[in-house]
Amino acid sequence: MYIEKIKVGEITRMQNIPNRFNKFKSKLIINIFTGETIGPFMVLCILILGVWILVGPSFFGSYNIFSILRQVGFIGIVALGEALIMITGGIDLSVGAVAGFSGIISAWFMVNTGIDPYICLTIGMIVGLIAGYINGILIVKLKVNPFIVTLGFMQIYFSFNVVITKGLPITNISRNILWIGQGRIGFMPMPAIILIILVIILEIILRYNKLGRKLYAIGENSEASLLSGLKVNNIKIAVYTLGGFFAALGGLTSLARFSSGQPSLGDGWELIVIPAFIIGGGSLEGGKGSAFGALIGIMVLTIVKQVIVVLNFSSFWQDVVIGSVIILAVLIDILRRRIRRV
Amino acid sequence: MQILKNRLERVFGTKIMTNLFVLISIITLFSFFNKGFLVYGNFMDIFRNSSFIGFAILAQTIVMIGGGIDVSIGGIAGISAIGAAYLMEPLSLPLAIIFGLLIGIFCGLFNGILITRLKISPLIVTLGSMQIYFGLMLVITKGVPLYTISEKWQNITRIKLFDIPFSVLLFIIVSLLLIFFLNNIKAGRNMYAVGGNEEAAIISGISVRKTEVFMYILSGLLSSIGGLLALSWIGSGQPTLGLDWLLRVIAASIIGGTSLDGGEGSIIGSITGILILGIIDNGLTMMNLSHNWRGAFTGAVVILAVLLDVYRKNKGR
Repeated sequence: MYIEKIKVGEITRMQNIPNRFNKFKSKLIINIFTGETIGPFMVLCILILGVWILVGPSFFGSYNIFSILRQVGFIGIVALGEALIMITGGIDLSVGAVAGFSGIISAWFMVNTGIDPYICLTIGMIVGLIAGYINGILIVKLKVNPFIVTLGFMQIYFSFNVVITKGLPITNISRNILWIGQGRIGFMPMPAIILIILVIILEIILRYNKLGRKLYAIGENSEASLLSGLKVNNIKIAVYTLGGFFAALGGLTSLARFSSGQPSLGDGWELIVIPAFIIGGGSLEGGKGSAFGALIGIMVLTIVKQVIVVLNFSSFWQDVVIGSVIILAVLIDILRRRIRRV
Repeated sequence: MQILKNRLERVFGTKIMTNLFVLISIITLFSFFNKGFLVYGNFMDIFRNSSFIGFAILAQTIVMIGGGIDVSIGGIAGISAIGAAYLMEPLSLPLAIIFGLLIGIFCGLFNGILITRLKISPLIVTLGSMQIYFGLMLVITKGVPLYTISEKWQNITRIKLFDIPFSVLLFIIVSLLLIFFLNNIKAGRNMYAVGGNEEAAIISGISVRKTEVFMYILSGLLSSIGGLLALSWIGSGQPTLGLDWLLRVIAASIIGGTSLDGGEGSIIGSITGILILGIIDNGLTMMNLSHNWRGAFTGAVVILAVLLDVYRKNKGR
């Protein structure tokens, strides 16, 4: 069956040769739809166009856009960490739980001790760093399968969240830190501003910095990178630690947004973050994807969710639609790659 | 002395023996703390409670032997149970149950076709289809438990034959059939071949697609049996049925020596995995530990098991 496919590809290529202009034109169109970052961006544009037709321009009112941007904010920060991990070929299912755990810990410190709230936030971030570091050490040094380890830790951290909060939200957290989640500068909510700054920094590092290129090299072929002198283990541990840090950052902004530590904080975020990375041009095998792509993936999923709310669908349909979008997005990705190969 | 040491190493070197050793030690530990633990009735409770999710674990083991992974198993169990519960009043009981099993088969077929025909990673496909199945459960039940389960079906898990719960007997029979299938029948051996080395399997003339689709269908069917039995035991169609199965299902398979890379694993190993998790759960409940802590314990057991596995493999090298 493989041989057949190659033949078909060659025939189409041959047919394209005589007409050079046609070839150029079709190549341009193919590139627009299949490029690494342009492709996902086109998916987003088509989605927005579809929403415009389906719901009407009222969907793009300032209140709605603001609410979408705020949702994109904290989950997007988590998605960036996951993107870094997945570019190097790993996976981290515990990001949502780590986000929740660091949020809950920092809320607990704020309410039960007299410590300055900003120090409590720092404690939350340190918790995220440590959680990421533990993941990294276990996965890299002991060569345990990342999927299983992080699944186990996910369960442990969620369980801790319920134990610490006793199943009830932690309220009365300090008012001084709420601006992180609720503040806005002009039109932009604070979490979205943090996210955009992070995306720009990461995108520059991933594209133009040596360290960023190393991440792709490791994801593409870990052994070749090791042989060409990269400190693969150290970089991988650093990436998992960074993933934990970003997760904590997302959890803390979300804590500030809701001004209470919900025991279910971060629940199910991993199911949004991983598909978002795939929608944004990433692959589970590593070596592909980008921070910008992850952002686009999150935007696609959030807009779809918001459409369900605006169209007054029963919220029970939400999971069904999100699941279908995930599968559809992966299908588009596969199609995209097939077109490019031909 | 050296001979004894070698012999001990050979015995404890295998995964199943390690698990039996772990089982015996946790049983001793718990029976030390609890007088009511090491009793026939309690053990039958453990077996029965483990048997529902046990079917899902068998399903996961088979898929993982074939080199795939099915995250949606809890969702399939849930949707087929809810489907059957929903149809129990308009249709007759047997028809509803058959329909529930058909839903499981169909869900497995859906996963299998997407994974094999379009070559999408099984993790992503089943992550998506899990969302769909759980979403559909909410849509069907409207978020409220269904109380339409007939008395007859509720009694099915409460029947005892030879003083052994019916669901446990059914589980044993199905496990024996699967062991026979995996070891002695060509389609079963093919699964090990496909999981171990897909290209070698293609070259030696095995139809990888057919094997994989069959594997996912089988997994769907087994999970729906688990879901239907759980429905009978709970007595109502909960919209969250199967939601918390995922970790336990994968954990038990891994503890039982099934490899995530495929080609390795056995039914008996996974059964020891179920028993370890079930006994820890039961023992902790009897020690009056809060339900909230149990997730943390399950997670810790999973990580310990994986670490032990890595240690064992390194030593073997």
